[in-house]
Amino acid sequence: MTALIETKDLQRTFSVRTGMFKPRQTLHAVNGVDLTVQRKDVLGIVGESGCGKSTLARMLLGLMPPSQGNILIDGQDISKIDRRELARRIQPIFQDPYSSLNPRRTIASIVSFPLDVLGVGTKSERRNKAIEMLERVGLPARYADNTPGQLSGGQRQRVAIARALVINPEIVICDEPTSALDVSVQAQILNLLLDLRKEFNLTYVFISHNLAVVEHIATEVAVMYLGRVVELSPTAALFKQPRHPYTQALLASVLTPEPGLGIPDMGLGLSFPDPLHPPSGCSFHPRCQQRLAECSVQSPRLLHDAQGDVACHLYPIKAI
Amino acid sequence: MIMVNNDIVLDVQGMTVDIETPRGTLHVVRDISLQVKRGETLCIVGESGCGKSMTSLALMGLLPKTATRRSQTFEFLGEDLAKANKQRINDLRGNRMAMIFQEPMTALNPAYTIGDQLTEHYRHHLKVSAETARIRAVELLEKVGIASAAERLGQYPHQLSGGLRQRVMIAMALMCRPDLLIADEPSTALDVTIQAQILRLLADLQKELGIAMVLITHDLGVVARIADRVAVMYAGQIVEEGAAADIFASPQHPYTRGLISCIPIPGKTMPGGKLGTIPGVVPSLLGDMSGCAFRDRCTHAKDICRETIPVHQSAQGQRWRCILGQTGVAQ
Repeated sequence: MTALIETKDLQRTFSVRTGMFKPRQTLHAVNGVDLTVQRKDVLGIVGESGCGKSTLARMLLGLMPPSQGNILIDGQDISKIDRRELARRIQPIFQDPYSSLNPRRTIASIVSFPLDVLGVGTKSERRNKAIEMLERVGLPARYADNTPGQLSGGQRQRVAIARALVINPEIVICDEPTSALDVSVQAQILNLLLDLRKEFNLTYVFISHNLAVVEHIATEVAVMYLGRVVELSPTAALFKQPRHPYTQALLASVLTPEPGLGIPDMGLGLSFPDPLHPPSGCSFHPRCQQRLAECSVQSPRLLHDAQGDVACHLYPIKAI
Repeated sequence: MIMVNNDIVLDVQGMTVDIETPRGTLHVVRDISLQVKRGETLCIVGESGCGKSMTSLALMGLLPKTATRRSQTFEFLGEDLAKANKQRINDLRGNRMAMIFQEPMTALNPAYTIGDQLTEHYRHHLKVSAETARIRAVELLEKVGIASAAERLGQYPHQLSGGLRQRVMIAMALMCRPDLLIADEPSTALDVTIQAQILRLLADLQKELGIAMVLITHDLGVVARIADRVAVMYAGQIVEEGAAADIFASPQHPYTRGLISCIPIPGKTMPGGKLGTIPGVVPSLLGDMSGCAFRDRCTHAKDICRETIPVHQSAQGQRWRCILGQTGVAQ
């Protein structure tokens, strides 16, 4: 069976200028990412800011062409799929429901917009469908003629979800969908996303910096560091036995509401490296507590085994 | 003669903050009482719009002009600040009481070097030479874990990463050896790994220097790991207060219980299972309010919730404002 989403050696570079008279430099935002997502799975992507997770999301949505490599949906290269057809199959939910909704349009017209673009049915049919979807995501029909400014953050995120789902997509790319929300609203949105996934057989790519949220919703997790996937495993295995030292540090940094545990020290050092000048060898080596001599020289290869993928010189564990 | 308890750094009783708007008066903080002792961390936790940031600004005397603060007691180190003039408040602020803001990029002035900003208030308050101030700045930058501190003094905020900027903010707050530190969401704008480092640094420094700290956050994970005592705010009121261990082990107010059940915890909550939720939305703070502000969202709500709500207290000193007593039954 072909995977629903497959990326092959996906790369994206940006040409940036650090000063008015300085030469342009190349920034590898995404640097050779191979991922496969099976139908009905939820792939969580985690990493610090600047690791390339949002660039990856934009490429998956077809909003930005890859510099190299390709993305296959059901075995078909997305660069060869018509833009409307692609939008029918893949829809986004963004982080900030305050800036992702047009403040001058009504809720009903925001949600029916994808139907308008695809020319589905008559105008009143589209409106009815939009209202039906709004009610499904828990927003009463009386809000249909309000504007986003009259809604709370959680209600706006429900509008964004309704807009994404109104054309029955197969894949929803969720880029930090709960990061701007309060915890009680976050729980409502997560519950809703889990219900909708079952009801509409959706496949999610779920990007978040919150590992507790990812553990709750994802079936597989990819950990990104400076444009590369350093570990990819089924969620339960990754949380039970993280292998990459970076994954271990990320998991240790999750502050769960359990008093008495104190604040962990992951020994990660002061700052994230400059993505314009990534460290040699394994890009994580300057912050790594378990680095070996070869780590600063040679890039680790991605090891693929029963537990998943990991790119670290510590694996496979060598027999002494 | 009243005995002054030197351990109590900040003692606020019955503080209220009202903001006049064209649509009426917003009661953003309603009758809250706080006490912070030397070497203690009090966390104020709540969701957006609960009044926690207004509380921090009111404590620092930094409220916007449209806001008015009233209180029965407002004592800092035994001194009644409600009666103090502007000059006296300016002498204390940045000196004996300091604040750390959420967003270090907007809190630091982009046009001045780190060194200028670190030393300005130190020289102003302590009337020392530029050289003495510079030595103190280097000492503090080193204390907050910034390497090559002397060179950093000549840099501008944009040359530092978010984590480093927040370290500079902490160093700046500690320059004059304050007795009280108010930190409003100090780690929220940072990456998870950096967040843990900053909180660890704050906790270590606070214990080492014996500062009284008020930390304001929406993140119960942060609260659990750093707080000695917790105050849970809802709609401008403190609805529950107590030792951190007690609040998390046996939350009494339905709102606190709801908040705690909302959070996924790896290894504890069932992946893909239902998380707890709090139905409804926060009430408007406009106009007069009576009874329990949480009653419209509460599963235990009864008619008596419209009336004055009693404050219960457990043997351990945990206090909550609800009709439910400790066993969870109405009294």
